[in-house]
Amino acid sequence: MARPTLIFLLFSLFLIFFQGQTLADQVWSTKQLHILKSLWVGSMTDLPKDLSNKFSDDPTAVSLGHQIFFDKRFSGEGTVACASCHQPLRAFTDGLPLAIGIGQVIRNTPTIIGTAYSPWFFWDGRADSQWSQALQPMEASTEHGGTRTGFAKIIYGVSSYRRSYEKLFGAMPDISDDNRFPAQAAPIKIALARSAWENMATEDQKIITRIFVNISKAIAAYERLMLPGPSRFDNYVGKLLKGKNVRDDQTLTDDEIAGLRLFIGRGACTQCHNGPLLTNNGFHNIGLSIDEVSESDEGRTRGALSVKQSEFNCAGPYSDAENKDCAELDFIKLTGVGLLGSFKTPTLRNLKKTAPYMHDGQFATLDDVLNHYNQAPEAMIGKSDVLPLEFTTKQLDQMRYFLLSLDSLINVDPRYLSAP
Amino acid sequence: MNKITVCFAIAAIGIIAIFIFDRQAPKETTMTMQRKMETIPGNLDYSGTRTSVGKKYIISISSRLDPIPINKIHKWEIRVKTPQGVPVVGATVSIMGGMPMHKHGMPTAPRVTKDLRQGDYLLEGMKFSMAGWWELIVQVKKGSDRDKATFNVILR
Repeated sequence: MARPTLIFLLFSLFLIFFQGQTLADQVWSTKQLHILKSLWVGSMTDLPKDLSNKFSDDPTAVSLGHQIFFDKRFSGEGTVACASCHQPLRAFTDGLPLAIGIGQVIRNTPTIIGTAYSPWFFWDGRADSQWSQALQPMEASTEHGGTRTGFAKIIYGVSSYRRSYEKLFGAMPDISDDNRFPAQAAPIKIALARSAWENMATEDQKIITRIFVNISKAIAAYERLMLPGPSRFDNYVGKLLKGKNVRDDQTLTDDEIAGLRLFIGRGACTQCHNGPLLTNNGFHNIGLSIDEVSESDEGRTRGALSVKQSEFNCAGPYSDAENKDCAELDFIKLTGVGLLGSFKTPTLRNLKKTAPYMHDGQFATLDDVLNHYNQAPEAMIGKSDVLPLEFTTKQLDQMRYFLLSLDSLINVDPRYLSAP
Repeated sequence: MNKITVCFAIAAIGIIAIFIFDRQAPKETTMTMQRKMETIPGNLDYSGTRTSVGKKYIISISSRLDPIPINKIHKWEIRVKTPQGVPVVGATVSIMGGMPMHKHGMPTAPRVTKDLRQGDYLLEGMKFSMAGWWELIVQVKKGSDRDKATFNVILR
């Protein structure tokens, strides 16, 4: 055989071999398909009922919550709405390392998308329902910076709000008397508001707190609509499950598929980032760096105690649930080294829009996050749950490509993504 | 050798080089080796009925949900008998669990909430946060007789 022909044949054989590798990369085992299906948006169960909020699926509550979510009057200085930090165009985050409300907040703004499936809220899980979560920022001095009497009086004084409120929750009590119901009163740290609150009759405090809770239940009814739409990853898995040829259509690129293999394989990422929302909604210490250790770094240790003691938890007087419906709270883990320095596993959907990352926004980019997992330093508080990935630069790139394939539109009527 | 042959040869060598270097596995480090060693032991006993360590009880456990779910609170039942098959009633039964390979416990604090009589006990608050090998240690105390048994559960 002539030498050029031999080289050509060898080269052709190599190409066939190389192509063979690419074909092999598209084949998934039954076990892998099982994992892929578990991550697929099509595997999401029906939206779980929030038994602690009997208004959670009421269209009037959704509409009222939608209005309040975008209304800056529900803040101390009339400058902050829920949507100020939870911006729909940024997948309900704000693009900042740490949120800024009336002041500097100590936490990164988490997304709202898919949180109706979570038993815990806030990075440390100190609330156990969407409505009890919504209460806290409204009175936090660095966030909305308002007071519950102030919020109640907005509902009472604005006729459209009052109409919707009364349609839902029944006739409002007369709270116009500023002596009985001061303009700004709440059980918060700010002395004036606190003092005004402490001077109120217990029954009047209950009236106001009930209105405050009802406002939050309406907000929760709106928030619960925010669900993830299908991403390119979901389209890929959907086609795989239907037995379609995914080899040539590039629903996912070769690099994204390689990243997916690492994600469900050697990376063992699905240990925590599992299910269609890619979170186990659990709490894990991943060995993040801490400049100066403070109480807020204790994470779940404090969050668990806080929610257990809260009057707004599932078993509390403002919840519509029966005690038997509060299993997560009833069997909450309150002690153990695993809680210290642990924060809630975030969803991995919409990562492009939800940077910076982590509870304190310490990573500006996804590369920073992946580099952290690649090295997995020892925890500075508590004990880290993660081992170093030890991926090559190329593998880290592939992981990033895959993670970004999880971005999608929000599966909700677009009218809910802006102010009504 | 003509020009076409030279071009083919260069292209072939180049592509082969890219192929080799691109697919080269990263150097194995202590941590990678440690990860490999942390595989589920092959000789684990997955039976739902075990004799307790001190041979005082025969303990059986079973989930009320099959398959055992991930990320969902659910209930189990524990059955306690003497080695002679007599149901152990009125015992104090408790459980601890975790993932030996990850060295972390369960995400919840499950506990026995009801004596179902005839040696059966209702265990509530069970939850598993991830797939893999979980170890469940059931402790039984009846009078001064305290004993325990360890169960292995694999979640997929």
